[in-house]
Amino acid sequence: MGIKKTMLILIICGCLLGMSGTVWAASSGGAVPKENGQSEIWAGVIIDYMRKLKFQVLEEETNRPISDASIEIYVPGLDRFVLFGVTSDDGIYELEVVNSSQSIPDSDQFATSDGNVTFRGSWLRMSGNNISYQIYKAKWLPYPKAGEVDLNTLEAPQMVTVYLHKETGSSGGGGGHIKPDTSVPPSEAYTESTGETEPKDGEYTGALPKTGVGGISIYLAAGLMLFLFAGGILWYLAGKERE
Amino acid sequence: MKSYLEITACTLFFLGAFFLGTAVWQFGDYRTSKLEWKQDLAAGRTVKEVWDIRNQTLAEGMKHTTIEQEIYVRDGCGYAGISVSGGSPLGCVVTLLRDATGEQLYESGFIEPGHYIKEINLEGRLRKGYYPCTVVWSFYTIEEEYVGETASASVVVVEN
Repeated sequence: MGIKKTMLILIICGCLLGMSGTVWAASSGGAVPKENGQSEIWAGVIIDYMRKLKFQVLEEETNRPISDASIEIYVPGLDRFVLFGVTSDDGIYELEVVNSSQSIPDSDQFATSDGNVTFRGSWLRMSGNNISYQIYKAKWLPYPKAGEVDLNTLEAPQMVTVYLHKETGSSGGGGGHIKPDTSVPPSEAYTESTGETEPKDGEYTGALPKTGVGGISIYLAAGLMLFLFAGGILWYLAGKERE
Repeated sequence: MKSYLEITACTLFFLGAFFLGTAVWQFGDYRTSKLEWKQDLAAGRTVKEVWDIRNQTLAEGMKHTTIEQEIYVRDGCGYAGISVSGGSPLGCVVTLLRDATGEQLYESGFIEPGHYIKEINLEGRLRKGYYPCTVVWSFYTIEEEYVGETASASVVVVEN
């Protein structure tokens, strides 16, 4: 088969495949139709199972609060970090977490079948009061700032203070803004250091999920690379044929 | 040898075309999206900046939602009070995951703004006790374009 013929076939097939890629990508996503709930309401006994956890994000050098920093917490059921919220103008995000330390024993939480503990999940994590988090904002480092916090103190709400510093060459707050220093001094706040990772300046750890953002460049780069390789081989073959 | 090279070139060409087609589709999707962060991404802003904008959109969406933090369940049925206020630009799908095992206890259908679900029926049966859970909110625009997900904590209290 001549090279010209091969190239012509490749171009036609490539166009068809490109269109099929488009159709494949368009088929993902979508929402589920609405389901209606029932309407009966009954009251339960109020017991305080929850406790407050407060994140404070400050600029490392000046202790000024950083707004709009994203707070993600590890969700065991999904095996990944999920956004819980963003910090307010005072650099604080407060959330309610389940106080597992007062939980009934783990052994009582699982149904038993013929004396064996069973559950329908894919894995089992015995309850601890440990929460893994990561905090990040564009043009601030570390990106992300990761750490863990143990919910075992008597402090209420428990405070976790996290410090970020500006990326070299960054002029502003990465789309957000820094507020005047009216926050609690770091010495008075609880700073969690266990398990923190400190990437070097400018280093992107790649820990953030990619879902929904930034897929274009990967596909584009992969596509162009493959085209280059294919072109190289064809060019080589054409040279051979000419010889 | 020559035919092997031709086959390799063909394979690479097909794969390249497929990836490029996908990239072109994604770019078109982002450019025509009604979501600000997708348009920004198409306009050339960095992923980190766009991610911040997306997270702010999601955090704003969370302000329009409610769910009981303590869901009391009797006979497999409990009052959850899941709602999305009428002023929300986003609808959502709610999933309740048990922290200890990762099992899904409940998944709603798409809840449009201005709608709510009072009571939920849990999948499977849990023994009496309380179960730390994570509520995952998957947000969509009214046109059912996926925006992203956020989470909050709740506890399921099984009373019998």
